[in-house]
Amino acid sequence: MNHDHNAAETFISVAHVASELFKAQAIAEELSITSKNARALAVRAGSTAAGFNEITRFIEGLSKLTIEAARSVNTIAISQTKIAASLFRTGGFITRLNRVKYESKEGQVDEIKVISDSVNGERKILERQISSSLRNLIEQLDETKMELRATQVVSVVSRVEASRATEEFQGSLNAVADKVSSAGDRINSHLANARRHLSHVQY
Amino acid sequence: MKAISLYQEGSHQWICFGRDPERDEKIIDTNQYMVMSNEQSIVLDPGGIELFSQMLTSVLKYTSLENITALFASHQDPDIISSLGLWDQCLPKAKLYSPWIWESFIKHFGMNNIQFEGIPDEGSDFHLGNTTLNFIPAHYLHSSGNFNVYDSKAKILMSGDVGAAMDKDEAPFFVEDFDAHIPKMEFFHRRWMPSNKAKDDWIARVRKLDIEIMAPQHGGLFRGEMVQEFLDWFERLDVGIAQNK
Repeated sequence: MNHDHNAAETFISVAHVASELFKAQAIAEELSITSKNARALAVRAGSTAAGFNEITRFIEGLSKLTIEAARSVNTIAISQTKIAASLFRTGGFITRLNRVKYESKEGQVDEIKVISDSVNGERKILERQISSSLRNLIEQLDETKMELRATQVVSVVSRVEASRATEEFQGSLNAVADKVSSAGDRINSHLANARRHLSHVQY
Repeated sequence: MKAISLYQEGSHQWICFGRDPERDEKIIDTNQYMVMSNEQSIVLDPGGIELFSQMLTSVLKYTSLENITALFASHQDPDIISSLGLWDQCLPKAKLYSPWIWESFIKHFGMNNIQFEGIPDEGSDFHLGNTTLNFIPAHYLHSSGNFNVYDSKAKILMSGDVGAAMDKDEAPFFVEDFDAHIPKMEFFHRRWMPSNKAKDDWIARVRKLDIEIMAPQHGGLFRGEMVQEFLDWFERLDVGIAQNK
């Protein structure tokens, strides 16, 4: 696989990652609203739903975590796409320069070699940057995924707490637990898609 | 890069991308547009090479690469289409719609995969999903081969450099005070637009269209009555004058 192809594949893959995180962010924003509504509901439900009130704070925390992760990944992704695009352009330049070298006379080759060495050095720097930035991106995704595992626990605990509330509120509190569970699944699915987009990127 | 939705009905949607806070201040700010309908998308004036990363990341939030079936370049300028060589890597099956006279020039930006579709001087229709866009001639405004894009359902005219203004990065997407906006666009129109005849010809053509939003490539967009205000102002303006004030 040549350098240009790698670079092009990287900027496409990383842009896909940002897109997946953007979708996850939208779900997390919905989750934040769910959490606020749930808190109001828990207050109305009174002392029997006091445990639920605590859980809503945790849900809010999870939603914040996802929103912050999405923002951070978006920043890394844009910077990464920029580096990959620069790398693609540098690669194209080197290919053209090599063609010039091949067709040039000896004296001219020396002159071109200076440029060629400098651009090759630049390419190595860009490759190192991309490699480190990719690792950073993967770590960030994995970390977010780990932290979001808690959504399933929250969902189960929510159901337990809902069962303690008076009958009038049980249906609504269970609906909140369903929403948390569904949001967690959908966010995780976007994170998994994001991770998949990076699985074949080589640097 | 910021994005706002200009119109949405079902799968038919217009999105404007711009006001990129990460842009180098020496690079002119540009508005890019994407129209979507029934799983097909076209990116209008996708922008310069320096903007490509932000644009690719932004458009993928709303559509997939497979759904971007076309690009449109109103003319040949670098801030319009110098990113072509990079889009060429992402959209190998897409077509580029652009004035026919620029084919051999635009290919200098690098185009190995995307297919060039020249728009004839009189303009043409373009079918996207369930909707039809019209390529409206805007020759000499400012480029000698130049088109706008009109959507009669959304009532949006993407007017390219017509209506362009040099605005601050933090300016709102829509013009709020037309009189205050005039100084931001007057010099650009006088200097860049070379022909009063071409200008009058365009105004007569555009006055026949039902326009709710006029969306230029630089600066604020015009909405509602402000579109007519712009046309009246532009009609009075003497263009083709090289004065640096």
